[in-house]
Amino acid sequence: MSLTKASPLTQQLANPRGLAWVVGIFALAFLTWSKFGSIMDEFEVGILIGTSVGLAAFGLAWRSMQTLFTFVLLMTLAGIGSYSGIDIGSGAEKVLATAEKAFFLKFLFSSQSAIMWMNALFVLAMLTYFFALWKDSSFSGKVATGLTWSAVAFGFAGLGVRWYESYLINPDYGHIPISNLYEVFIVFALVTAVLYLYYEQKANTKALGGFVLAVISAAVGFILWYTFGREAHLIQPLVPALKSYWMKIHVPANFVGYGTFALAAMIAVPYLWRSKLEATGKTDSVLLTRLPTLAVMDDVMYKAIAFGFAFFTIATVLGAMWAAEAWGGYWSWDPKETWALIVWLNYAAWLHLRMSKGWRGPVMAWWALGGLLVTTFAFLGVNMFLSGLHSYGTL
Amino acid sequence: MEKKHSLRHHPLLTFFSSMNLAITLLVMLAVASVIGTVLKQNEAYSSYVIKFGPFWFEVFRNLELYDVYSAIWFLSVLAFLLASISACVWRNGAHFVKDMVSFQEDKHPAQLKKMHLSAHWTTQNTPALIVEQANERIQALGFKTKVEHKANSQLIAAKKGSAHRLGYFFTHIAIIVICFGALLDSNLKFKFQEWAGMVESETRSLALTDVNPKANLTSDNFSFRGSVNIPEGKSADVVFLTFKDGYLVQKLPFEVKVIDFRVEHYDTGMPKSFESDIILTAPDLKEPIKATLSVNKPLIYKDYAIYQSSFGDGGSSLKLNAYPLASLNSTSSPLAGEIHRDIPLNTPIGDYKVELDDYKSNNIIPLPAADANGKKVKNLGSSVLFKVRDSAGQAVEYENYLLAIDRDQAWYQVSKFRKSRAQEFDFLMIPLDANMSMKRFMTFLSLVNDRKGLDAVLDASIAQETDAAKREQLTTQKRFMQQLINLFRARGFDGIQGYLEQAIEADKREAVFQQYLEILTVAMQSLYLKTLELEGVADNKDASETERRFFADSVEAMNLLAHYGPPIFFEITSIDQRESSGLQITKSPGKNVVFLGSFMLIVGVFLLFYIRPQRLWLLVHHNEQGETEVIFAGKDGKDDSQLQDVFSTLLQQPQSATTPSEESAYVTH
Ligand code: HEM
Repeated sequence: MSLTKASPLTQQLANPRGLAWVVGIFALAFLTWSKFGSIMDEFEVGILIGTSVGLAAFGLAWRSMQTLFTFVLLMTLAGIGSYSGIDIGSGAEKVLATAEKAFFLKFLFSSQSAIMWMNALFVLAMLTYFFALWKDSSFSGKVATGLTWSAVAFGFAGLGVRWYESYLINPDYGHIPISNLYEVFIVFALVTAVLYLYYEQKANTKALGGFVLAVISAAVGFILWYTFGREAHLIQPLVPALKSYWMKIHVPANFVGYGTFALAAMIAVPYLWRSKLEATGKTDSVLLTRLPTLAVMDDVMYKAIAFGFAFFTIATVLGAMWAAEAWGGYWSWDPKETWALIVWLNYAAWLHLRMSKGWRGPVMAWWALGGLLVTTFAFLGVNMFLSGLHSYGTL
Repeated sequence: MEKKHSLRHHPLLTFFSSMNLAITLLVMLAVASVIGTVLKQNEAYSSYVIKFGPFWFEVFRNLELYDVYSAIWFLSVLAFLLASISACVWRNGAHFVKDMVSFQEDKHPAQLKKMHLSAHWTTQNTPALIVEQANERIQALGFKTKVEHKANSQLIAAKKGSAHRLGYFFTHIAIIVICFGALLDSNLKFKFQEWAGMVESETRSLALTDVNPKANLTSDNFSFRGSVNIPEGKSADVVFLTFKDGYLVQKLPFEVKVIDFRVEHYDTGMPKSFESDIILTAPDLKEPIKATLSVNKPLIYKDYAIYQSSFGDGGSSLKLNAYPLASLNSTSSPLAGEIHRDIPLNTPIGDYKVELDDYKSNNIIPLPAADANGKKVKNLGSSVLFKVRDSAGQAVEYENYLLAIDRDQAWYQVSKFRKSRAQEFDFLMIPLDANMSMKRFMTFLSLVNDRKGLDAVLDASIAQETDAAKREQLTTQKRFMQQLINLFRARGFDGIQGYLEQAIEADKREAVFQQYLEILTVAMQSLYLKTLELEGVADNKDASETERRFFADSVEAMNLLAHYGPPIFFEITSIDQRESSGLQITKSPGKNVVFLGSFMLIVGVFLLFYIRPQRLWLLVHHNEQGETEVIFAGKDGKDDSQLQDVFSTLLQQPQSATTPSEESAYVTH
């Protein structure tokens, strides 16, 4: 045995599966480029390369990502394949009619069906996680994890197929599905779930799943209301301001931030619960044996917020660069912009207290929970109550 | 050296560099920002007065809440934060740098044994061998090492992840850099001029040459952000900056000419893209620059950036027909005009001014349900927005559609109108005849207007009545019919109702009103039949469904005409569109500084979060018992959980001089 402990990435690359993964991703990227290169500008090529490198590294660092990606890819291809009967630019009616007719599309892989599967599976997963916690059933816990993974796969495949559908309706409409409130809510649910699954593996506990899935289920509730109440699921063309490669990186970066902040907030709930039990001396409570220790939850909370803060910083800077290009100024004190700053300042304060002053415990957990309110306002409240230059979605 | 040291502990510095202050300031900044988003910024003062009432308006104004982000107190919080960060960097700086380069090789055995990760054991191996082997292994883990050979001890001090500290410098200096860039763009020179009363805003809309000279800014201004509308084929060398309750005129060192402006639409009618072809000329440019601007694709020229930001009408010319609505004559007179210009009108009923405000080339409205093609929107076509102002200055606002609009299979000429901005628009819908023209309606209207002619029409219609009793009844009602029609034409159904309110008791009013309506309808029908007769439509008593509907629609339209304002209807017959492109032009020398700071911030954040400072020490010495003792210890920046792995790995390497034998291994804590 060698003393040299290789970094996990290189170690992974040395095994056949890791190598196959990396080769596969780059082959896929190359295939995409050779098929669509002619309609991509240099920024989009850059984004493609960046995404492939990121995905390859992410897959090496976290094997489960490889499996997920493979499933999503196959499901998306199945969806796209089922549309083989109609051409690009067939119009919304024809796309909808085809989705209603073809078996695979109707029941599984049209974007609407896949997203409905995602919705249902997320809610089911939340219930199963809570059931597992209540009954202390490790089997149920495994089922819950499986449900969450399936929901995530359906969700990503749904977005992938939706992307294709937008071109099927009209090549003019074609755009990545992260452009309005309906689409970003799906992104939010998915990102939060993926991050949760990551920490579930790292912290080796399924006791937190119900809490995190609760916020995802709330998002699902919103998606359902938005679909049935407002028909927001219909694919609309992009307003000119959103036609920019910046959107493709700014929005996902933002949602990594929102997702992790939401995750941290939801972990604060069992944290507070447990610390209350401990403080009141209820040492016989079974929850104490089932929930992870305060130290573990605190660690996940911190790691999530730090990760989110880093991505949120990137997202805000990208937003400023985009604003400089679209509105003529990198900072306009537009409400959305300002609320991003507020969110950012809030977590900067949190991190300073945690890192430099060494604060831990209920106060920090309450603060993380309160952070969810701030984040939700930045994410949703601004669109509902304040008007400004950000025009991607109003209620 | 001594002096510097004391400076670093100056109470003021201690105050500024305190973490509590920093966190307080961060939270204050966040709260102030909330205020700025909840209270809409930089609106006209008058709208704040309406919203808050005079008392709170004054209070909020004194707190500078209408422009929070340039309020003195807000800038002070920012300045405090900057001072705090600077003090913090200054205070921690030297210490952190020292910490980064130092291997901390001055650790005593006792200190090492007290560390969280620590092990010590005795060994038979020679110190040199141990050190050599351990050094190799520790280095292989990516640590930098420093080996010290002393008289009776040998030490390896190792460190990894010093860049974590760099992250601290990067993030915090980045904030200073960003604020500095923003300061460059906040244009201090201009702020000073404002403070010294050298600039004043212009509140009137005037020709450029008449603008208050104090509202003119020269082109050496350091930074600005302004906008200008340039009609196709025209050029501009100024932009307008909004300032207080008016604007300033900023001179540019170049001229921009808009050749063509284009809007493309999706099939839903939503705009798909806005583009302007422009030519930029400047005295120092040999060749003018030609470019096409679109949203998200600005033109950068020197320190200036030129963006597509909006569009509007650049003076489209139009032809109109003016229909007199109170006349006995149904013929119209032609007019011509241009958007943004006024048309003076001298009429027998007074002098008016038609102010042509804007032309909209599309009016997309949502439909309650998808139509046969699955579309959920409908394009009503283009419209012209205008006001008609009387000699007393009273104006009514209109929006007239160029194309006929259909509702339930009948066609109408539509005009929206309102008498004040606080009101919703009313829709006047004039029914169109089979030739898609307003002719029949206008003829009908002229007959209604003709009080003398009415008598004859009523007589003729009574004469045709075969039932003697009915004829008798109609004859007695004739005068009353005339009165009703006059009342209706002057004030609509409201006029009749108003009359009833004075003349009839409340409980009988509704019944009488219905009675009156019937009588009015009979009279109107007579006039309508006369209209059809004049038109040469066969005299058929039982008019077709279409004609009955036309009649009902006409009566409804005439009812609204009583509230329509000056009695003129403008039909827009043709328009020659000329668009104007709204450009935003900025000069922002601080932009790249801000982006540099942002880049440092991102790098710094990742260094801080993902590089962990770790240290290891391995000391071989002779203890009091004269044995060769190995002390191995480690320390991680924040917590030791990650280093723990490394530590255990190193301890568990088999067959190595570094490894403690089973019996002697002694891991503390
Ligand atoms: C907008 C203002 C600021 C931002 C965005 C910011 C950002 C950060 C970040 C992201 C960290 C990393 C947290 C960690 O250690 O994991 C940090 C650490 C730190 N900050 Fe700030 N900071 C700001 C202002 C300040 C101020 C005013 C002070 C001075 C009191 C300060 C002192 C520190 C210190 C001492 C650390 C710890 C460094 C270490 O442990 O290595 N920061 N800051």
